[in-house]
Amino acid sequence: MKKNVSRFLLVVLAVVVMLTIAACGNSQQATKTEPNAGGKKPVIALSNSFYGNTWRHQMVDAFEAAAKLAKAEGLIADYIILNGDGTQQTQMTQMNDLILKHVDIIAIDSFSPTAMNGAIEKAEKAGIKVLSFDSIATEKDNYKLNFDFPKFGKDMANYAVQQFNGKANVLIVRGVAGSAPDNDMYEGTMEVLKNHPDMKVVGTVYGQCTTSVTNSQISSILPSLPNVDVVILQSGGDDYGAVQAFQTAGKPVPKILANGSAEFVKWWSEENKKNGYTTWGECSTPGIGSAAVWLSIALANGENVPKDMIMPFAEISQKDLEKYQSMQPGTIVSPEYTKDWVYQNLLNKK
Amino acid sequence: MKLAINNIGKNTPWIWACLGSLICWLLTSLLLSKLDFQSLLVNAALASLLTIVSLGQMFAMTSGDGGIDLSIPYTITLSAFLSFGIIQGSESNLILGMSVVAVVGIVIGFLNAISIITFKIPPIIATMAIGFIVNSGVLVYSSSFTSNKTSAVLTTIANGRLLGIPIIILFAIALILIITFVFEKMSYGRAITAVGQNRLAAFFAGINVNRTIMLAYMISGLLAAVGGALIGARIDGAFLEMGQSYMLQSVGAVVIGGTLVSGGKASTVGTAFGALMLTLMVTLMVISRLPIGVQYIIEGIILILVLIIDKPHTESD
Repeated sequence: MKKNVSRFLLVVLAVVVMLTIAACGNSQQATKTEPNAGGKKPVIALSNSFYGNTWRHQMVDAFEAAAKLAKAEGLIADYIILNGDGTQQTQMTQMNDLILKHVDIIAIDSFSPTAMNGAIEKAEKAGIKVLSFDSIATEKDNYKLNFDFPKFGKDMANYAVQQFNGKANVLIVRGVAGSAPDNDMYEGTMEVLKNHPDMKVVGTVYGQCTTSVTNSQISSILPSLPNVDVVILQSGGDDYGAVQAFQTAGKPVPKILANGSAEFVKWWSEENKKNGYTTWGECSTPGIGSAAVWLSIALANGENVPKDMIMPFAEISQKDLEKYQSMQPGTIVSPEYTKDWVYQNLLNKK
Repeated sequence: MKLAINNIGKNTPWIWACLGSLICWLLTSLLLSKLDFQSLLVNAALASLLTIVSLGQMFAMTSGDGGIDLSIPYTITLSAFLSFGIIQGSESNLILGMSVVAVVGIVIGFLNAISIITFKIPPIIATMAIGFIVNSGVLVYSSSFTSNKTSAVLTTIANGRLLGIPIIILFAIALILIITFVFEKMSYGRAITAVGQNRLAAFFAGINVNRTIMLAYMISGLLAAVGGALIGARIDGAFLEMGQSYMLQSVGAVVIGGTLVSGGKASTVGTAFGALMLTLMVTLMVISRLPIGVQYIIEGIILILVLIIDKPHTESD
């Protein structure tokens, strides 16, 4: 009897697992291969190392939207999207799979700067051009579309300096301890602040790019801080975590630089109507996925693409606040980058 | 002298975490050169959220045989999403929302228990696997997620104050009292302690071992789910990976509080002080302005010291 029960439970568990896999299947691996009608049109692929956070979801959505458009316009024969689980092995498998399928271009959001270099080299030997973006790979022959993180840190600090005429108490929220973007952004910020001795850093916390961590880190030191004038942050979602920390503590919310979370943009707009609160910000936008599509097509057509390109940040200012009001909760400001934009800003930039 | 120290912690294993909290707070006050009660209150409020989920972890660990619940962070994230998604800012949905959250938490605990008891998978793997499945549920649910409002009642519990004291602290204290009662006075508390110490002996003593273990994981799931709804209310939103930091912290709070990793001995008050100490320690480190690498090293050393001091009386039992 007991054995039967456990067998039954095993079957139930197996069904649950299969259903879960089926449910995730749609989003995890969207392979849409149809007969190659044009014969010569390229097939582009996305190899995404990690699919567990909102940013990557939006990036993949942006890639897919642009690729669909390109397919409808007849610019590509097809596209393949492979999403990983945040491990090196999975992305290796993805790359091998794509090499075997012999796609024309692989756009890769890499597991790490170096871990995928071997796989990329292998793809290039097989005649596939590789474009790494967001989390780029250092392999010498691949095309790179990178965010300029030190500039981000500088932009944030410069805005703070300008708003407060070089005299303010600053709270800095860093990102993931030990990560390269965190280091770059922080150094950019400090480079600006060190030239303004009256910009006093009263506290530095690590928000780990997670709203809940940012919130509790700021909350825990807030009672011991002097008055904070401005908060400099790095990553979408942290901005709203900071707002909540100040509100819970019953303190007036200082100028918090926007990082593009839907929640913050909404709060900012409401506050602005109430009392004229305003701020400014930038974010490393997931819309980079759409830019990667147009660059991949340019590469496939043999156009002149620079090896190193810089992706600008999406700016968030008072004037375009209204157009972000319909954003889905939990998402980050993500403008869609068109083909024309890519040609003007990335390909023909001198 | 050594004997005297050993006896201090014998019946009050929470004393070390309590002392640790006090030292962290005094050092922070020293750095700021003032006794800062406000900072203590705020940290206690943050620690209260950690306490809620850690108490669940304590049940799982006390059940023994490597008991641990690694699905907690995923349950937290899922229940935050569910609470926002169902309640949608309307108080009339509060009961429905919290019921769904509670049931989901209990079901996750049930699945953990089934994997551990029926399929004999070690808890560390079983709960991680169930956690991954829950996480997939979060990913699917969040992709069509549209709500950005939870209930004002939850927000008040998470963020409000009563006579200057954060309500969440009172909530956590009530929970501590209930769980202390369970362990001290109720047969279930005795049962899980016995099961954690020796399953065979507990079985021969007439305890339903499997049911006891199953309840422990269901309580853990339930508390993680309630914690998740409150954490969501605190940051006023549900975000992917928001529960992640609670995985190690919940284990840390339980162990620092004097609960045995090997099971069979729980310290409810200790878990609360463990959570408080972890929170105060991070605050101390941030205020000390040491480089982050040094902060991590010092945190590690403090933890090891607490566990070493904690150890003699656990061996002498």
